[in-house]
Amino acid sequence: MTSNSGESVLKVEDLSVTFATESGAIRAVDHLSFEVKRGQTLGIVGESGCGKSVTCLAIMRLLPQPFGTISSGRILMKDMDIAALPKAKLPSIRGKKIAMIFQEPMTALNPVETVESQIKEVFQLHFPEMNAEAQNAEAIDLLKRVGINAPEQRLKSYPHQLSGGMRQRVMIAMALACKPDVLIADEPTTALDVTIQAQILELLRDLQVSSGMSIIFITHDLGVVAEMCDQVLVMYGGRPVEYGSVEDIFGSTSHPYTRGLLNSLPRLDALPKSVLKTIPGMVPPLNQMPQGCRFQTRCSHKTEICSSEGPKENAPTKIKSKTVQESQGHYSWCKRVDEWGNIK
Amino acid sequence: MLQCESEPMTEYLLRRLLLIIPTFLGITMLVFIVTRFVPGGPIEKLILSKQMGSMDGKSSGMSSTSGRASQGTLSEEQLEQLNAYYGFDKPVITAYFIWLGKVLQFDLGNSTRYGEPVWDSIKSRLPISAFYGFSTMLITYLICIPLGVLKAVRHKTWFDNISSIFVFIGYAIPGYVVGILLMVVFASKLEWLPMGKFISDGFEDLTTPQKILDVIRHAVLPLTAYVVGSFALMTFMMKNNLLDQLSSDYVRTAIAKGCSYRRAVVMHAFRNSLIPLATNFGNNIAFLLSGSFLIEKIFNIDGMGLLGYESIVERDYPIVMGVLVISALLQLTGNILSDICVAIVDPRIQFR
Repeated sequence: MTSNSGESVLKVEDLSVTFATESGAIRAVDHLSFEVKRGQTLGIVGESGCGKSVTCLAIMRLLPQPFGTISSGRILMKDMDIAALPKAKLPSIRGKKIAMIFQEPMTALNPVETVESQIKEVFQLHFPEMNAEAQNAEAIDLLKRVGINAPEQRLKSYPHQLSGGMRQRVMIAMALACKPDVLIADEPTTALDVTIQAQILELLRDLQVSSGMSIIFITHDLGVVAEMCDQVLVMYGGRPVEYGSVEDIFGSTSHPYTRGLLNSLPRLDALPKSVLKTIPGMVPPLNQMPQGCRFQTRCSHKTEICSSEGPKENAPTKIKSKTVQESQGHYSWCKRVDEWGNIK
Repeated sequence: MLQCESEPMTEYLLRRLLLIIPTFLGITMLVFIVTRFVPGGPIEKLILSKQMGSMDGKSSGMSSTSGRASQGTLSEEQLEQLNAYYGFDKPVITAYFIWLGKVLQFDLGNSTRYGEPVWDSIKSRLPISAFYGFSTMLITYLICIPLGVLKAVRHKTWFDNISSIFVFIGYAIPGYVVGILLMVVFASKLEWLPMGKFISDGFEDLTTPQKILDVIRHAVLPLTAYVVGSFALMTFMMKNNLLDQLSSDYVRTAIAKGCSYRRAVVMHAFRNSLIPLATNFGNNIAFLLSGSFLIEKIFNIDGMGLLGYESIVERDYPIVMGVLVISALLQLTGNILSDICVAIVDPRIQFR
């Protein structure tokens, strides 16, 4: 287990992302703050549309232009605020300081370029002084590190000649090419079958240990979170609902939504073919979110206070941690958390 | 698997080339048979003109003795002679193979109208159509690809919207109407450019630079008409292809790697967006070489389009068949050319 007192690599403060739509501005991420420490993995969990991918695109400054804008907050790497960087500076950050791998390895690689030219492009972009031999050696080494057999031959391949798992490995190799401080993995295993998923997760863990990089891992799979992450941020409707160490989130769950997600997991000790538990209802559209707590429409613990007052974005309730990792902090954005302690 | 990639390619092309033969036979045989059975063939034309001639003769006071002797019709012997001359006395299949045999010896027969060899008329006109065809294609690509790219990159800006207005106007007006307009304005009113034809009458006496200038001066208006006709479609095809590619995942990957937007467009999206254009490439060659008879007619250019059109109107079947042979061969090789182009830009294409 990595230490908790590691230095902060990426700090997101009060981040809001607004999208201009035909029916007005929609806030897809609402006053979100979190921190990623060196060599650690932060998992961001939530249903589709909760803003987890948008958060990552905002960190990369890859929000779809001209509709998506960072409307408040700072994204700090050391003293540099990515949110405030001029556009011209972004290419020197992307791929070098922060790299990203995407959900869909089948389409994320350019179909008409070889693996070789796509990997080497990263060197050309960030290390233009590197000569051809060094690039070649480095590219082969990268493919070896991500567990690709016969890397010399694979370099000459086109993406369509590779399987999905291989392509994701190539994506990872590309992302690692400049030894980034932070790797953002946006559901990197969702499109892969289970055995390949396990291999890719193991690969990411090994690479993290060997390179010491930090990972932001976006997923809706709590099983993957338990396996991969040190810290977890649970999001709902663009807002944080619970934030803490993986032990806190699983061991002393402090938000009804997180509890709902955990209860929805299939369990080995459940009766065979029994119906999976679900969270009733649907996520309301972002422009029809209720006043107060956004989860109230689906929450079985809802009372008056949830809609009249609701949680403050910047003032979550700090949960007294039962685990030793109290220093990390465990926060819940549920107004009633003190009343019932940990929810079942 | 990787090193033998060129092997199936040549094999595939060879097979495609061989497939030209049955396709070519099918096309020509079909048209040959049709020319046999549609009314208004050369003999009927001759009979008609004879009758017209004899009527003219009667109305002008029976001055023509020969007109009276034939009574405005042809005798049985004369008809048989004509049938034999045109090859109509044999069964259609036999006649077709006789024609084919001659074609294989590069003999396309003689024009029934002028009596001169068909090949000579085609030979004198093909370069003219080819000149216009290739110039049109070159100019179209040179305008449409950069314009389409710019429009895609500046999607929904004032540049895109205003250029779209012009492209739509170009799309709405057929090329030949543009031709007429241009001619009225620039040749007739302003007299800046010649009215038509491919070259001036005194072309032979000009010096080489003057000759080049002469061809260019003649080419400006028809080329504009040609380009306007094909330019809207190509521009929008380029723009939409590129827009599709710009929103694709791999472009996002490229930017996430640290590519500037410009580099992502040029190095990644652009080549992918050329694939549909490459599919079209060979067809364009065939289409442009065969010329547009309307534009050729307006500008009085003796090209393939006009030749083919007039030969059909005049039922000059040897020329019809000759033009068909050339355009069929162009179309069929154009298809293969398209395949090669696509294979060059898209490594996913595999020839089996």
